[in-house]
Amino acid sequence: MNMQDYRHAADRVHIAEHCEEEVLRMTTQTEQKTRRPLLRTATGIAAAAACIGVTGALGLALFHMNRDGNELTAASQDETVAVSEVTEPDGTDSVPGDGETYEDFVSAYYEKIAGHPVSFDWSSLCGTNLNEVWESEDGTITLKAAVTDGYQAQFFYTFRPDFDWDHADEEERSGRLPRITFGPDTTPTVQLDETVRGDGTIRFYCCLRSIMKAELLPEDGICSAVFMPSYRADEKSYSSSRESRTVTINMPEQMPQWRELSDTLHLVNDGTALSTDVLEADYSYVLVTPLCAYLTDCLPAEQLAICEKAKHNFGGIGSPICAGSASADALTLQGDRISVPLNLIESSDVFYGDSAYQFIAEEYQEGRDPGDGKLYGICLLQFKEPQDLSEVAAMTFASPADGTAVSVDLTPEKLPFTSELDPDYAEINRISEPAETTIIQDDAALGEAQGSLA
Amino acid sequence: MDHAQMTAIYRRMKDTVYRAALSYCRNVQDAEDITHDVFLIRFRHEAPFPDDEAEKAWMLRVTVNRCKNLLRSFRRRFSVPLEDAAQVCVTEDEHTVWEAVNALPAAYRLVIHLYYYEGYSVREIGTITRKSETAVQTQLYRARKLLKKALGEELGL
Repeated sequence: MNMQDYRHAADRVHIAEHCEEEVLRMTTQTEQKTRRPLLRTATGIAAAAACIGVTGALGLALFHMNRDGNELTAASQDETVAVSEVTEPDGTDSVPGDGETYEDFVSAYYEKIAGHPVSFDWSSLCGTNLNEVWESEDGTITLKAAVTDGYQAQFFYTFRPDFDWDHADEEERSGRLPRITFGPDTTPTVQLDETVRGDGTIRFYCCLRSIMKAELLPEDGICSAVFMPSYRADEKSYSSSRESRTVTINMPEQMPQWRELSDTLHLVNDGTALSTDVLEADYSYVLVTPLCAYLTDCLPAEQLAICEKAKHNFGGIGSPICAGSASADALTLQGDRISVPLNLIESSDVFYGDSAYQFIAEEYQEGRDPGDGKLYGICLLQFKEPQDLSEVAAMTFASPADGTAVSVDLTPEKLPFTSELDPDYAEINRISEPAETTIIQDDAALGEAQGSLA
Repeated sequence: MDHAQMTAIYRRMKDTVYRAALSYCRNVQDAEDITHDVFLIRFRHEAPFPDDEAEKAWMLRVTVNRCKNLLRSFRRRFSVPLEDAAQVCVTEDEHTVWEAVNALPAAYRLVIHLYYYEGYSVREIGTITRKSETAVQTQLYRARKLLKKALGEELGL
């Protein structure tokens, strides 16, 4: 008895013949896409129900494998088809007409910021394909895709100019280029293509910071607006308009969790003029996702409490997310989260495992309570390449200035983010009604998971 | 990529991907779903690979990622394994070893499969699973220890 026995047995494992036909058929049907994270919930229920229902009756007959070919029986094919039908994406996930998916866009973006092609399993990110079209006087802007880590959302859109973009000067381009905005949050925009592509479009990237909690988002999606400037150099005229839409994006099944650092991290950048307020922050908590690491000096519950207090005292801070927003809750939350990029740090050395990774770092002054002057900040460290953190147990942050390193435990067994918010969470929960249902679901799922582990 | 190219890739890689997925998930249907997903991703991947080995390693890495995602997912938590594919064993020894390997934790099963079946080195497994060599060595050591405990020293690891 040795490992040869394992090899011999594994040699006889073959995928069923019908799978080839199914895979190749799916590749030719553009509406059939890789399963979406949110849809997995429905899939899970359907699959579990199907499995439970058929296990007793069909048992081994379902997946009887013969000794030489190990082919699945017709019964198993029927079962597979049934589940596949449940997992069909709905219309909102249909692939855009030109076939570009969120994987294509996010890949192009990271190639742009990394300066070289980035190898990553893009489908492991939580993405959504969109096809939301706005017409402006100077062209067509189409929101094509979104990728989120649960805290921020990266959006990708294309612009098809009706003017000679490649020969327009910078002033004309910026004066006629529509931009997607998300409330008061200043969204950095990155142009992914230097010139107009073969299909007449240019790709852009923009980002919605601080999604923060899925349960606090409006049920009908994220509100975005397209700002449409209209600049006419020959007429020396400039006008603008704004048109809002609500788009729905997929969110991760499990929201990222804030972790407490082993010690406070005093992030200092050498020589760059940053806000004193931000530089004075001692970061105590971190949230790490495949896209970013976020540092903050107080937990989101406290931040929200500060925002709410300020809003009640002064009738609101910041500007509403956009006119005509469908949800007052979302408007309150996102409108209060003022995110003003203060500066761009060239790089910070952050280490995990044995390797050093470069980040693009931005610091945010998030808000101030005019009552007691309390300030909180968030430092966003965007990975230049997405990271697979599924097997990373701990991460160490080191400030480049003084070399002090602090670590954070990233093991997945920690309690979910929502349960860390007590006692402040109760207050926040009253403010944001949609939270309650989701929390019950999360707790139930957590309980089930813990039960199954036990 | 045309239909003929996709078919050729599928036939070349299907069992490699499927075996790795089955090794990790221990569930025929999950392994089939993951295999489907991996090939859809592969067919959308336009950039050429330098050779077949690079392509294989890339596809195994995608497979591993999909498996991890599945095991973390709601769906997996509530699904019922239908079949452990134990019928692939012919001899009693094969059955015993197969059962012992499949009783290992998922991460250990994977490194055992990649090491003993696919013949990858520790370094290569580290690349595929995005772990350090030390982490892979540790997992291999622990997996062997568990196998020895289950099967006795005669396993000859």
